[in-house]
Amino acid sequence: MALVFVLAWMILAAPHVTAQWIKPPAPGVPRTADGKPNLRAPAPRTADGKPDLSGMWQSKLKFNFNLAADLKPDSVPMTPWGRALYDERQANNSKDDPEAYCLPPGVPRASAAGGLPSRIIQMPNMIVILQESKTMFREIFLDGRKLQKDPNPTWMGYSTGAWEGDALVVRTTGFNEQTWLDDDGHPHSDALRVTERYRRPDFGHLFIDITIEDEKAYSRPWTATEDLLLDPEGDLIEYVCNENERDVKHLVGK
Amino acid sequence: MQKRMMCALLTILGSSAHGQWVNYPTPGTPRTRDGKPNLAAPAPKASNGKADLSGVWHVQPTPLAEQLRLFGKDADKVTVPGMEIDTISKYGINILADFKPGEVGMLPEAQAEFNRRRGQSGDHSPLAGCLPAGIPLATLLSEVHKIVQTPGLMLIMHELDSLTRQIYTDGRKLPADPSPSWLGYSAGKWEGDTLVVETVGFNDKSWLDAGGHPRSEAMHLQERYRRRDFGHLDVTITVDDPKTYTKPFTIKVTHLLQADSDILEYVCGENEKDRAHMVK
Repeated sequence: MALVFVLAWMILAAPHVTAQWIKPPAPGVPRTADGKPNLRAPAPRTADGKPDLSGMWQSKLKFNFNLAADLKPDSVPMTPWGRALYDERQANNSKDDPEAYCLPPGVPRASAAGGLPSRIIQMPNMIVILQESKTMFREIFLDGRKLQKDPNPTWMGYSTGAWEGDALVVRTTGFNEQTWLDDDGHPHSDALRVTERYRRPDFGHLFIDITIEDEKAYSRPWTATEDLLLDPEGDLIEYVCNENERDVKHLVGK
Repeated sequence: MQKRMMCALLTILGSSAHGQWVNYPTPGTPRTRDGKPNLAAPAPKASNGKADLSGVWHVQPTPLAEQLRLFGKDADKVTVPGMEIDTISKYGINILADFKPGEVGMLPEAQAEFNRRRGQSGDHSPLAGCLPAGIPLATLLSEVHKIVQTPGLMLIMHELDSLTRQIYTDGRKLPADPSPSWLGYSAGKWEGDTLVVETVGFNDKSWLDAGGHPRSEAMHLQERYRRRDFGHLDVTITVDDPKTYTKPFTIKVTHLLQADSDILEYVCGENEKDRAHMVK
């Protein structure tokens, strides 16, 4: 099974090769005695005293494959509806994964989309996350607005965030049913609510605790934690998924 | 000629439609006594004293009469709601709309490519294949764009396919040999209250307008952004592409603040039905 996924991934990943890495100046990066970025230094703070999540963050591909990669088997409690959908996707080698069709990753998959980096830009009232994958953006409003009661269903949902101590708690609703939580095929319905807790315990590391609530697909909420590594001198490279797309015709199911 | 341009435009506009407008009163918006946004109030300043260009912007559309004069009496037959011809700039259809034929000439290879595209009913327009609109075209159509200005970096987030552009204002130089890309590599610096943005590193795939005016990898784009008042952003755009055009040319557009509004999600690749119908 794992081999099938790796093969599927090779096909998915083949047409986009990261170009040369741009090395912009990186002022404000704490350094060790040998001049290397000190990823264990304290996390930076903004003028208002909150942790500053800003930076280039490298995601882990395993979470794009499987959001539950670090969880024990059976810790994802699917309903019969959710299980049937998951089994169907597994049986079809995930050939209908929207990522293969250059469609948006949705949330929470955005934080691991393509196993590629993203740039967090934190402002007092708003966070913008620029994803290298598809050169897309995601907005998280921190200005105290409430989530809409009856939002337009969208791929990326509508996100608001608030600080709880040093953790930024982001709540997202308003999803359509078209995204997959991962390439593995973990399903969701349009009742999905995602809560992400962003924690930056030191300069170089970011953790996101992701809680999935969706009564139609899961019998109880479940939580996975992703870890991301700072790339202090990295930058985003343009990524145009629809350019020279060659994958889809090779993706076959059972 | 005019008809072909309209065909190309129809192709480009066909696959998308606007949803409801978000109505969220934006904090910090100056208001008149009746509570409406005061678009004539002074332009805001960022914390570093520079003009703050942040906001949701839509290009000031060219009036219908002018569009019909330029592009023919059938030019308003495009009736996709929210994307009528008087919701876009004439420069989105023809970036050389201000110039007499031949006034800005094309080099032979570029002219041949332009003629080829005009003969094609627009089926190879990048936008029709859900490829990036490129700049400045992404800001000249019906979709809004949102500027987010931070110290050292300005973002332009286009509603058109959620495409995001980074403009570095941290003093860095443009790269000497950038990877060719759809959006290029942009660096800006302030001249008084005007942000001057230079962009290089383009690929030659993007069309400058719906009519198919080409660009080459040698294109150098300069944009001069000045926020005249709270509600108006004037942008002077100069295209200098010596491998395509016989001389540099300049257009001026004004973007209107969309107060208390926001960008919506736009996913070009969702339910895409156009390509199968594009023949010839």
